[in-house]
Amino acid sequence: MIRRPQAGGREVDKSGRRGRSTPGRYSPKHGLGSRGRIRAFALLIGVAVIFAVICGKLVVIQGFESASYLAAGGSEWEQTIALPGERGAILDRNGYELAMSVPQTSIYANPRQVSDPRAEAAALSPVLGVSQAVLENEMSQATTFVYLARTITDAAAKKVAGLNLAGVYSLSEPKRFYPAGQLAQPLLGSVGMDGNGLGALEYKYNPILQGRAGKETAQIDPQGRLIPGGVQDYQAPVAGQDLVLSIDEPLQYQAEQALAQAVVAARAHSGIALLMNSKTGEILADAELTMPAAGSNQPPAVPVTIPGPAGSSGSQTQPVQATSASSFTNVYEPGSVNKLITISAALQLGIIKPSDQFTIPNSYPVSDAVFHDAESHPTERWTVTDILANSSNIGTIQIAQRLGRADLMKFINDYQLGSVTDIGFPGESAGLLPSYWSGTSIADVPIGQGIAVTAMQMLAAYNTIANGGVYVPPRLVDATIDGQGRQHPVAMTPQHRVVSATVAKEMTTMLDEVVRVGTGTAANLDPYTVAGKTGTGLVPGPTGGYEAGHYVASFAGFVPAEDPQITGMVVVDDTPDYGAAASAPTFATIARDALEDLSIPPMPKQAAAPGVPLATAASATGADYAGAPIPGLSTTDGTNPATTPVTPVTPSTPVTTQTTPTTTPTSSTTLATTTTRPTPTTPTTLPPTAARSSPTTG
Amino acid sequence: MMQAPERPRSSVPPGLRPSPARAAAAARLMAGSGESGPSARAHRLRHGARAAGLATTSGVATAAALAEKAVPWSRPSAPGEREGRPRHLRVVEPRTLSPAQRRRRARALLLAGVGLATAVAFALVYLHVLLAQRQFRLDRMNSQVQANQTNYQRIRLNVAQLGSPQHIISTAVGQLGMVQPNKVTYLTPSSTIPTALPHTSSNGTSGQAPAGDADWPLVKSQLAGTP
Repeated sequence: MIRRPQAGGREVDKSGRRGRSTPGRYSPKHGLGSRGRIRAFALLIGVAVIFAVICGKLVVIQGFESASYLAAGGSEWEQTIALPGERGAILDRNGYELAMSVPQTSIYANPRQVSDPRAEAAALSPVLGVSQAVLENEMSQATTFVYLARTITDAAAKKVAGLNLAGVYSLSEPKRFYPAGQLAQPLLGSVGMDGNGLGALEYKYNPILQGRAGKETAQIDPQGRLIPGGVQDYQAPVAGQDLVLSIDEPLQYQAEQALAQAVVAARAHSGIALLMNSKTGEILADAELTMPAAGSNQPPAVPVTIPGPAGSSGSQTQPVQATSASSFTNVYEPGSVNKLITISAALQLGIIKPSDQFTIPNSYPVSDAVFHDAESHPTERWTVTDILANSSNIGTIQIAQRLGRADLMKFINDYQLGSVTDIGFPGESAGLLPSYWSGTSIADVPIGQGIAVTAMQMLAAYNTIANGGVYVPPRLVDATIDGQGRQHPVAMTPQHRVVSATVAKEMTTMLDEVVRVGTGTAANLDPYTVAGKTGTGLVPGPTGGYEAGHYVASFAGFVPAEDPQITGMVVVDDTPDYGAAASAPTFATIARDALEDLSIPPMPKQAAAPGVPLATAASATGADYAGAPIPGLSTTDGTNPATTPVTPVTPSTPVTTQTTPTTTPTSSTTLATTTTRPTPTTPTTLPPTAARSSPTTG
Repeated sequence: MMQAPERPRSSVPPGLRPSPARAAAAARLMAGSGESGPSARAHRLRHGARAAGLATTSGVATAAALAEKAVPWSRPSAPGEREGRPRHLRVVEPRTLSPAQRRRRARALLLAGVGLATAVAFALVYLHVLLAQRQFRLDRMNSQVQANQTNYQRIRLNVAQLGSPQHIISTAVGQLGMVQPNKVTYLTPSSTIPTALPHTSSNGTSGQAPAGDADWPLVKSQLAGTP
């Protein structure tokens, strides 16, 4: 055997097999020696121990601590995706979308994967419209997720994708849209970035609209792709329910347009216009506008055109959407519209009859205050119809004195003044009833002072008469539509009778007379018969008492009087004009639009209710002193309020004007006529000792 | 020297019996020991079984059991009994394979196993590929569904925006030059028109108008205009 030396001193035979380096240690012929056996045994023991340790550790890892290791590793290969439940839409009564959610792209970053925050921020800044410093700061944070921009436009999302930046990703999130712009915004409310309703109906019905989010837990590869068959858990999202409102979108727009016109023309601070289905109590329109605060850049709610004097220029201040649904949340002293409650209560209790005559002096002392009508007049003998048609404070006070406090308050409660409506609108006010009863309370509460109501409450009160004496709770939501498209009508809340049908009929006749010859002639809609009442409440001042020359001008009524279909109310707040001038013509405008849209024809005239005398032209002086309608707001002068310019008031503070030509060619001829807005008669006798006993006028 | 008793017929199942060679060896041992009696025979049987290579526990137990069970059978059976009962049980020689046969069988089994494993592995790979393809397809379809849903919502939003009153008014006034009427004229049906006209059919006979058409005569007279 030829042996050749090998590194390490061992020898290798020709076949490559190693020879014995140490004779006696290993002998294939004789086996291991004793030392070899011991070493082999020790090696075996060592290997066994190591193997046992490994096995033990394996048991610990796979058995006892498996959950924690799974959890730690799961974040690497498992991904849980939230599947948002689509927020339901808000529809009008005809199914038009007033609010809906559409998926949009949001951009986020994983700062740990962003290699150059400054460069990426510089690239993203012009696309996202976010400052570079903000983006750089966000992408430098020690976290794995930061939003860079949420719900951006599709074009911007495409640009971001084109940049192909490291650590910058996109995801889909729903965004709330209001297709009709700001229409009915105070009513609808808004939705936050996280999809929660923040106000109004979006807030109230958030649990219904929001739906339920689902989730999907799946295994992903390093590139973030789903591993086939790697879905661990899937919970399907549940879409939110749609809300079907009673609001009619076109009517809402027309109401907002007419109200904007009235607020601008009447130089008012704000306004409310309501329309209700007389039979069902459904709110068809609820417009709430206010003049913008100084420096506000809020866009106009409904652009209207009110030209100024010749030669003037500049943009016109336009009303904007109110910050809240003021028809539910704001209270005001209703003024003469409250006389409906006083007189109907007295009729219901049989204390008076429509034909009863009252002696109405020029002034009338009650306790330590002296009350007047809006206009001085000699002592008159007026029937109840005349009292209502002329909106006589003194006549109403005399009736209330016969009625008494207890019965008056009972009917105030029966008409649901002092109670929130069944709608339960967020932030809704119950109104303010007299907390104490002074000597003059029996005089000022019946004429709508010393009591505060919401516009919705007063609308429902008038609708009670329109509905034959039965109070119909207002309703704003007709139905909900679930994810399967099934419609679930919202149950109507119980109605209750307040006055008899006979009294309602008598009141309707008297309210007809208000519009025919009384203070509400500006609401006339011939050939339709309108029944309604004007109201001019005084505005409380910040230091107590009432502010002279500041009124809440309102009109409430229903049409057609023969078979009421539409009940409406217009409130123009903080205006120098009376209700007859500012609100009555606006009521006529929106009522006319509603009658046209709902295809309600004029009805044959009906005879007056038995025993109800008509107001005589001689006695009905209300139209004379209540003030003619503000030019441009009337529907009976052959002009359209929506397009007819209004001549500014002289010499008082002019309306901010502009010279934008109207779209109506014929309006230029109307412009040539210069009229002076009638200055309402400010009550001259304000009792110094009892501020709430200030007289009101219709 | 005692003559070995006649070997009784075994009632032990064939699988538990020792082979004839082993049994013969055990008998020889038993005969040469000079012992007599059942216990001596059992001992010899056990010993013989061990010597014959029945070293397994079961083999010993089988031999012992055979020896123990052989005791009752040591008495000569009656001639009639021996001849009258047919012997339906016999010791069968186990089939033995030659080493070459065993190797071939093992090789065939190995090849079959490897082939089966390979087929299963390929099938699994194919299934996973199929699964992956379907998953990608499913992902694409899900993406398409989501994109289409989003597109539908956007179109729906677009339709709602185009149909909003504000857009219609601005388009009508600003682009089409339409104006709102300055005055609304209401047409009031004449009081002379009877509320219910007799309906006349084409053949001159009076009849009831179809449902939904009852007001048509009244409306038509107004639409025709008055000179």
